[in-house]
Amino acid sequence: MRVLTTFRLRLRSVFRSRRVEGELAEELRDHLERLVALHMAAGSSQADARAAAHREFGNVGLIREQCRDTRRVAWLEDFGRDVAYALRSMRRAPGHTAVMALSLALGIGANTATFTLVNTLLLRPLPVSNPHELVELGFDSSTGSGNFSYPLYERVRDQNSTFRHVLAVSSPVIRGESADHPPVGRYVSGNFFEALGVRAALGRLLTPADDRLDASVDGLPAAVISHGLWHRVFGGDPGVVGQTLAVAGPPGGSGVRFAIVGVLPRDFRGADRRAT
Amino acid sequence: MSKPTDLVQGTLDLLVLKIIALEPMHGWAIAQRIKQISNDVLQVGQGSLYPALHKLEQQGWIEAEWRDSENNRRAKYYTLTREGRRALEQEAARWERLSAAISLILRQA
Repeated sequence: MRVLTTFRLRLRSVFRSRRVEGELAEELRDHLERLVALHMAAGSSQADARAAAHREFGNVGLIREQCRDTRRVAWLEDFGRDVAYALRSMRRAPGHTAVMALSLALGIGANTATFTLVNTLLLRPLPVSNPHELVELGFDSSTGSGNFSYPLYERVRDQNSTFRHVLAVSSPVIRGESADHPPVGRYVSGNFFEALGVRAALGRLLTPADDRLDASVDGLPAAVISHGLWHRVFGGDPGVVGQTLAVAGPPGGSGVRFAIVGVLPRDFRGADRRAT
Repeated sequence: MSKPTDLVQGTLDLLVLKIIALEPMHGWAIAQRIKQISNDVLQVGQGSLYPALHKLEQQGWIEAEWRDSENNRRAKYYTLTREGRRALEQEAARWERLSAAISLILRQA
């Protein structure tokens, strides 16, 4: 309670110092004027009354300065004393201090990490145009599979009259060079990038024409690679378009080769908030 | 300020606390009251009342509030806080002990 009051008053005297000063001046002036009035009522002339009042009251400037000091100096002294006291107690109990510092560090670190994660996954909008218009369709997963088959997707897409686009994306089933590599890729429908408003960093992105069964680029299905993969595997080679990408394909399946037709922009992380 | 009896610092705080414990008052009224109650024996060097008031306010023992005063002007009224009331009791008890001890010495020595 006392700490709060004092703190509030100190803040006030720092940030509202003009106001505080004005109030002090008014308070002292009121007192002086009452003294003058008292002397005049007793029969003194105004000049005499004023002189007497000032004699009784004391040096106004000095008193004002003393009032100011109780606010300002008290603040500085108290602060200095508090800091000194804190340092002394910390030196007296180094173990305790270390534990305190460590728990603070861990606490701050954990919070920062959590926030970074949440910021990346949830708060930062997807790097696509109009991310707020995206809707994810799925079955109620409690009743079984949450996935759409490709033919079902085609039916939904063709009969859609609600959304501007209906696009499909697989789970991350495409693995790296061998089947025990972590998943690196997904199959997407040809309208995927167009619907999301993503532009190629290099080459072109997939189009609905790539969905056709007979579609091929040099006899291979078309693929676009992420900016990261482009740099990690191809060293950022601008001639990557037209090269072949060999991956292990789905688990249990045989290897798959794709023709690279383009590179995704650096900030594209997929349409799924949860995926990288 | 060698008026009738110069107030010892600290004693002034006690008197102020005691006086505003009855009702909220502004500085002028506190000064008059001290004079009046003590039959003019104690006279606060009127100005020195204010640093004391401000210090007590900083300590959280009293609170100030601007109100209309009896002469139709605004005046800063001081009120005792709960903490101030506790401080008053302690200070008063200490003063009783001190003055009792001094009178005892004066009577016996």
